[in-house]
Amino acid sequence: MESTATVSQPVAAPERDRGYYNLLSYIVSNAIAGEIMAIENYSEMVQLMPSVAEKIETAQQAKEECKHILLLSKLGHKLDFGVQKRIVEPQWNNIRKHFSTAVTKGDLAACLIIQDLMTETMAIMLYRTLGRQEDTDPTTAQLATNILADEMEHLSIGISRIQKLLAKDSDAVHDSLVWAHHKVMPELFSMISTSCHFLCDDLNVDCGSLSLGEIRNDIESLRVQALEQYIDTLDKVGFDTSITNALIASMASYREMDRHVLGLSRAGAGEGVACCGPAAGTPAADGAVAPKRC
Amino acid sequence: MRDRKAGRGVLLTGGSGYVGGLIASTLLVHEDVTIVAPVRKGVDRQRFLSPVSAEVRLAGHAFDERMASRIHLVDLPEREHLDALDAVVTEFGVDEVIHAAGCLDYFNAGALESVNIELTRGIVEQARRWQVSRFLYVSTAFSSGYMFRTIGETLHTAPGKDPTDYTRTKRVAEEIVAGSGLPYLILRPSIIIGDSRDGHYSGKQYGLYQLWAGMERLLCREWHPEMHALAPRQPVQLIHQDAFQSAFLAAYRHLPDDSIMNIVSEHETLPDLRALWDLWLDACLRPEKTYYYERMADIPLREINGKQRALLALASVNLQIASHPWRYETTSMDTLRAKGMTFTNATRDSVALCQDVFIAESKQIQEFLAAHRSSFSAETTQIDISPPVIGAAPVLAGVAAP
Repeated sequence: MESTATVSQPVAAPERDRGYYNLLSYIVSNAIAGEIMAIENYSEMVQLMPSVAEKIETAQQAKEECKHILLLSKLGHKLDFGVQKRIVEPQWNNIRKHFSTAVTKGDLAACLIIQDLMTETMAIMLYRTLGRQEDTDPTTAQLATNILADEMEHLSIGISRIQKLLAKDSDAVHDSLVWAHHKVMPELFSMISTSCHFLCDDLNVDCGSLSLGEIRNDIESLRVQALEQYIDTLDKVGFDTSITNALIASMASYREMDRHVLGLSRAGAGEGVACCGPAAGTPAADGAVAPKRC
Repeated sequence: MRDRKAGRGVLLTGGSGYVGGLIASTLLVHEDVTIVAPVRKGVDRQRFLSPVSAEVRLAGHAFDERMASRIHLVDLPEREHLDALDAVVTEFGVDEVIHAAGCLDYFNAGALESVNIELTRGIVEQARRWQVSRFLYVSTAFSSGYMFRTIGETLHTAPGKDPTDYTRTKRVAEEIVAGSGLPYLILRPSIIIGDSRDGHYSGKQYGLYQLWAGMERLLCREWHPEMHALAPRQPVQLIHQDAFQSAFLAAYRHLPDDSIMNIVSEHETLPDLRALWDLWLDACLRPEKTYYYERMADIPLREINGKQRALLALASVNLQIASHPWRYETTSMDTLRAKGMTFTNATRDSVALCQDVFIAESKQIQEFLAAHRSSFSAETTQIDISPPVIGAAPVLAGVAAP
C-alpha cells in the first residue's frame, strides 16, 4: 500500500516564539530517530516473515518510515528549526538491540509486538499530539495527521498479524509479550520527557528550557495518553487480561517513586523532604520539567 | 523488659526510608540510644533528618541539637564490605541491629533479591561478628503468601502462593534472621498509612497511597458518570503509622527474644475495599452509577472507560492482595495491649482523615474539583455485580446517600 503522508501547501503559521520551535526541534528529532529505528527493525524483520506477500508488505512499511523521515526533515526546513537525522538518545539503540535479539531467536511474535504494537503505539501518541492544530501550527498538524494515518495502518497490520500468531500458539505469544514488555516499555516510557541524555546538546537547545506548555500539554498527560493507548492496543489484540494487567501494574515502577509530603507543614518539615518529594522533577504549571537535583 | 545500657548504640538500616524514619523518631523520643544509620550515597544529613524531625515534632516533642546529635550517619558500604562498619559499631557501642532496609519494588526481582535477601544475609553475618544482643527485623504481614487460615506468629513453614516476589523475599529474610543464632525479634506490619490523629504521611506511593495516586492521576481529569470498581467486602489490612510506632516501641521493650509479632488492626474495625472506593468516590467523583465487582475477572475491562481500565490494571496487584481474606494471630498485640500499649485501629473514619489530607494537598485534585464538582451526581446508584449474575442484567442493590 502507498503512504498517505505528504506535506500540504504551506499554511501561515501563527506567531510562535523560539521556545515553541525549540520544542518542535526536540520532538521532531526524536520522532526521526524512532523512524530510523523502525526502518532498521522492519528491514531486519523481513527475513522472519513467512510468506512473500508479507515480506513485501513489511518492506513497504520500512519504505513508508523512510518517507516520514524525509517529510519530518522538510518540516524543520520549512519552519526553520533544526532537526537531527540520526539516533542520539540511547533508548532507541537499546530497543534496537532487543529487537535484534528477538530476530536472532527467530521470535517473530516479539518482533511484531516491539515494532508494530509498542513502538507504533508511542508513535501514534506522538503524532496525535502534534496533529492538534489548535496546539501546534497548521503545517506541523497537517503533516502529523498524515503520518498518523500511516502509523495507524501499521498498527492495524500488526494487530492482525499478532492475532494470527495468537490463534496458533497463545502461550508462546504471551511469553513473547512478557519478554518484550519488560525490555522495551521502560525504554519507551523513559523517553516521555523533555529532559534528555544528549539530544538537546546536539540541537544546541537549553534542555531545562523546553516546555510542553508550548503545545498546551504536560508530561503527565502524555504519559497517561501513552498508557491508555498501550492498554487499548493490548486489549484490541485480545491478549489475556490477567497477563496484561500484571504487565501494566509493573509500569507503576517506571516512575521514580516519590515520597509524599502530606500534612507535615505544621512541623516545618516540608523543605528537606520535598527535595525528593512530589515537587522534584515533576512538571511545573507550564509543563516545564526541572532536572532533579537531589 | 530487657535490661539495656543507657546511651547504647543501635545500628538502624533503612533509616532514610519511611518505616526506618518512623523507627528513628520513636527511638529518639522514647529510648536513650545513639542511632548509627548507614545510608546510601546521595542521602545527606538534611534529607535524613527532615522527616525524622517532623515526626518528632508532630508527636509533640522538641527536636533540638542534642537530639540531632544522637544520629550518626555513615556511608552504607557495598554488601561485600559491610565489615567496614566495624569501626563505627565499636565507637558507638552498638549493641542491637534494627534492620528496616528493604526493597518494595514488586517487579524488580533483582533488587528484591539483592536487598531483601542478600543485604539481610550480609547484615546478619556482621551482627553475629559484632555479637549484638538482639537483631530486630522489619518484615511484612504478607510474608506468608496467600493463606486461607489464620497466619500465626511463627516462621512460615508452609507458605501460600506469593502475590509478588516481595512477599517471598521477605519470608526468606525472616528465615535468615531466625536461623542466625542471634536473639531476634521479627515485626510484621501490614499496610502502613498516615497518622490516625491528623492524617500526615511521608511515605512513598505504596499500598493505599498508590491507589489514591492512581485515582488522582487517571480519574481526576474528567468526570466519570459511571465507575467500575473491584470492591469485594473484604476488610483491608491497614495500620496507622502512629499505631505502628506504638507497637514497635512496645515490642522493642517488652517482647522476649525470638518473638515474631503480627502488627495489624483489629479485623472488626477495618474498612473493606468497597468502603475505601466509596470514600474516594464520594469525595472526588460522585458518579451516577457505580458497579462493584467481587473479582477482577468479572470486570468487562475491554468495555469500560480507558482511564478506569488503566487504573484497575496499574493497581491490580495491590487490589488482588487487598481482596484476599487475610486473618492474623494477634497474641503479641494482645499481650502488649495488656501491658498498656496504645494502638489506634484503622477504621473507615481514620482512613477518611488520611484521604482528606491527600486530597487537600493535591493540586490536581483541587483543580479537578473546582472544574467538575458541578457535574457530581446528587445520588449514586450502586450496582453489585457478583459472579453468578455475570451475563445477566445488573442487579440494583441500593442507592447511596449523596
